[in-house]
Amino acid sequence: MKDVVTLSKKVCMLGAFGVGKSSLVRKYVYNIFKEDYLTTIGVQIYQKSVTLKNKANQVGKSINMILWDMAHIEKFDKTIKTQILGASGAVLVFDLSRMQTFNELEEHAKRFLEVNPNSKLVFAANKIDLVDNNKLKMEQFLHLSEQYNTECLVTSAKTGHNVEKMFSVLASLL
Amino acid sequence: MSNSKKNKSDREFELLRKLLLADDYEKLKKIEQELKKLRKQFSDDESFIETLDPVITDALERKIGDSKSLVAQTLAPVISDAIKVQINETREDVVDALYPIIGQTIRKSVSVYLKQLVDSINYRVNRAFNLSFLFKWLKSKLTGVSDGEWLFSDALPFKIKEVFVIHKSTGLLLFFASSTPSDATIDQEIISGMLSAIRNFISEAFNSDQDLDQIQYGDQKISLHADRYFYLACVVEGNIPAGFSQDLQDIALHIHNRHFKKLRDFDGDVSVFKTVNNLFVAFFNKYNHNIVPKKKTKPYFFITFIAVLFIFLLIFLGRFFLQHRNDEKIQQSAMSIINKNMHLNSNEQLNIDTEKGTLFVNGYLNNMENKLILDSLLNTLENIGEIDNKVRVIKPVDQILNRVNDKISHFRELRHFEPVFIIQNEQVVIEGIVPNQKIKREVAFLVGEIDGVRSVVNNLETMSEGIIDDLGILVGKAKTDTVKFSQLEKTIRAIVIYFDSNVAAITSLEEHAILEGIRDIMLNVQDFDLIIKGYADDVSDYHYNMRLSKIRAQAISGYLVSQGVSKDRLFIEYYGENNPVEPNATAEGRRKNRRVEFDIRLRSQF
Repeated sequence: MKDVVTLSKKVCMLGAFGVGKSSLVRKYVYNIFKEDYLTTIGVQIYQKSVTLKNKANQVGKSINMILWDMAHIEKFDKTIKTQILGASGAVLVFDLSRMQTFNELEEHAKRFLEVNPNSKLVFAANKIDLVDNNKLKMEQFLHLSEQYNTECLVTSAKTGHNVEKMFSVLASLL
Repeated sequence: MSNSKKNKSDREFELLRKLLLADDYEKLKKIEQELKKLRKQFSDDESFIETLDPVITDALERKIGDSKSLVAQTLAPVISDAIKVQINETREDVVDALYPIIGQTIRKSVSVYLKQLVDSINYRVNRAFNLSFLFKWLKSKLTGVSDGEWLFSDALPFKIKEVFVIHKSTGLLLFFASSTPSDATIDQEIISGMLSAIRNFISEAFNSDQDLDQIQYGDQKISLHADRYFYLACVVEGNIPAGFSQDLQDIALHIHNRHFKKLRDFDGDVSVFKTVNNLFVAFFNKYNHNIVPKKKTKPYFFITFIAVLFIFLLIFLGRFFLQHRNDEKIQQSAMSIINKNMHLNSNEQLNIDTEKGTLFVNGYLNNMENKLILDSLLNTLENIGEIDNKVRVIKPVDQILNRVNDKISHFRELRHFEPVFIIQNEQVVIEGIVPNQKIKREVAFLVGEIDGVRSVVNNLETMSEGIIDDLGILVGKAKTDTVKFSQLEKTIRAIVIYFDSNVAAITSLEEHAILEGIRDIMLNVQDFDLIIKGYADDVSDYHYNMRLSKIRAQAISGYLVSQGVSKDRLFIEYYGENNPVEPNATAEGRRKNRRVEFDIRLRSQF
């Protein structure tokens, strides 16, 4: 039996201020969600391992994701560039209840790929629990995901909706 | 006619040629000028370099950008040689250029060493006169670890706790080693990320080209050493010793050389870096002095031995103390009862002692009546194991005689010491013979000091006096008659001159008188020669003693010559510590061996 290959990958959480980056990570890593909003100071790092199966439904590889949750990503200055350097992937998060955060997303994606050209992206349309599902205009989201050849998942850190799936999708791309 | 036609035709052809080829001529002219210009540029080095400079610069930039490692690999040997040549040729310039960098490095290194030295000195001064050394000695005995190892460990309280090998650009943990057995966990992964974040932050926030090399918190430090693709983070406790950074650098270099490609093309697979474990095992072993008991059985044996020894000591001291108290009690009660019931005269003496419950009584009493009283008193004593009663009844005269014999016992070993003591009513008359005047006076003095002796009559004669008398008789006879050789030989052979330790001089009048007697006989009897034999004790080494015995014989010979004896009749022999007359083990024996003896031979024999 072949040993399962374990790969360590650096993944960055990107998105505008208050979109729920830290909440998504905490929900994913610890399965907890706090109503209290805590500002991320500097950078917080988490770790989570994901086991991926191959087409034969056998364990193919294990991804040891080191999740970098950074504050003040919106500035995208030199310090942030240094922090995101070497990342294999990124979760780009926007807030469905604040659509202006979606508008900033493409800029984040562009800047991130400038630093890490071969990295993979996943988009997270977060806080679905706060908006009416029926009023969502998914076309623009799909357009963005197609543009970057990836997926855009509607998530909720509060309910855990699609959180696990979103990170698994990213892991499979790494 | 024909010529003119031909000339006209040529002119027309020339005109036509000019019209048709004018542009080509012009171009050719320009090409020639360009060619001339190029030739000039090629022939002039400066001009040629100036022309090519922008082209080469661009080409190089493009090439280096495309494959940095390949360019570095290609240029490395060339640059290395060029640097060597440059250093050899312009040593001073290189020194000037490197001075600020090297100076800074040296200052940093020296300050680190000094800090370690000061810390070590402070530590030793604080501990130098501390009772904890006693504790350390005991600890050493209990653990089987030498005192030196404990002191070394204490003097350099340094320990490597953990080492992280972290990928530089991603902050991912490549390898983790710990002084305590544990695998890399979530915490180590996160620590690696955070350390990378801190390094990056410091570098960017302070716009510094230098890497962060240390983080300190309390007694612990994180020593960082950066390679091109990774960095080592070493968590240590205590003072970082000299050579540590160099070792860390060596490890980094080793990892770089071995995993250069995997590090450059890192894809997240950290399993390939497990092989560096051996490097860190040796590294931990070198710096973490594992102070562990060497033999598990040793402490138990030692503790048992100490405990048994302690118990025996307690038992012994207890018994000794009780016995001593009991002996004191017996002795006091015996003395008390004797003092209460007996009155001892000045010439009576009782000595009372106890040992292990036995009462020892000795001494002497004047009469039997007192002896019986003493015996009955001793029988009344209780709690006594045994009584060793050696008290004797001795009359006063016998007592004095015993005391005299005790006093002069150390003279008994001397040759010619034959005194006789006659005691008459506390007066002692001493008769007989002793070796010399000094001993004669000493004996009389010692006897006079004895209790019960009121006066001393010293009728002792000295041996030298006898010899001098004998020599005088022989001299007188020689003047009127013939002296028999055998008679002369007997008298001369009986003469012995003694010396103090390490001395060869003749000091006493008595000895001079004897030698003057020998002089007289030699001047009056001419048919014999004198043989002077020198000896020594064995206190010094063999050769020294041989020389000393020679000098003693020479001193006698010299004196006789000074007194008029012909040198031809004097023969010296010396034997050092050989032929002792007494064993050299005692002081008296050695005194007798420090001597000169005499012998004679008929002159006709030589």
